[in-house]
Amino acid sequence: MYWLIFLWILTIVIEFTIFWLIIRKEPLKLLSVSLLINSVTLPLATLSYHYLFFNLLLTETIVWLVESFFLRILLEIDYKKALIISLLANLATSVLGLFIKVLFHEF
Amino acid sequence: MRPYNFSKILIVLVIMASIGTAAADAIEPGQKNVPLSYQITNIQDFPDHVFILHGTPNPSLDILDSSEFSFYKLSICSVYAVPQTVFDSVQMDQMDEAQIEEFLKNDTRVASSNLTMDGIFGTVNVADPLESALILLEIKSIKDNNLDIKKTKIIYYYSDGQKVEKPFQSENQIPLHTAPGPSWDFYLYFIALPIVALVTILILALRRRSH
Repeated sequence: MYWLIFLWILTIVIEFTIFWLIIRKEPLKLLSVSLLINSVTLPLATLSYHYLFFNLLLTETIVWLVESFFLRILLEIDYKKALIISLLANLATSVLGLFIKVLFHEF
Repeated sequence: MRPYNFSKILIVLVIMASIGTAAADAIEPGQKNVPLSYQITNIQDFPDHVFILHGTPNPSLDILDSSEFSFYKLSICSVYAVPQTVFDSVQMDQMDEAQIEEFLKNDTRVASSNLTMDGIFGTVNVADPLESALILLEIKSIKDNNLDIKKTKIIYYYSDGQKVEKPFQSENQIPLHTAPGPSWDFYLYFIALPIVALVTILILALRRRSH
């Protein structure tokens, strides 16, 4: 469980960094948004990947779309921008996730 | 977002679902390996013998002591007992793999057993709290070239720190592990956290809309 908490915090920090690099204002709000979004998507994605889909690509795609929707609502930006930000954030966390998986042989 | 974009997304999702788990490695997604180790509990009672772990494809030669040991997950291993005097005289460390195999299997001074050991316990669902297993072995006797060694207990180790001991009723049947249910932190992370976050997002969204 400590491992899942570590990944959750890491994801929040990475996605916040991506949000901050693109939006460049209200860092506290961006951190809160990252915290809220990843508190929904990361546990559910982990659960669904292991019990429902068994398909990383499909899970990541659904996470991308759901996070885009949440970003659109919470940051009040248009869908195109939300999709791009979410795509970049999820690409960054996916690449890091795969790197960690290879490095530590964890899920 | 325009309607045709939704149909594009739907098509992409269907394609991705059909791709399946092509990138999966040897372990199925959702499964994890449970490592298995062994320990001879009374090895110190036989100081006149050297106990050797030999298996296919490896290890060729591992000298055992009272500590836990494990080996490559696909190996099948056996334990051999070599009298200390014989071990000192044959210089096994200078033998190649074929010579070691020949010596352990055919030399009448070597005591061998019928016990075979697997390198891995198996795979379980990732949500299963089982982390590892340890099989305790006990040497019953060494007579001529017959080593009588038995599996006595298996100890299951769980992610919450619990350990459960189960005695072996039969040599060939590993006692089943009865997994304790998910712990409270499982429900906290996978159920409570997403619900609280989702409710917060909905409240924020509704508040924005009302403004």
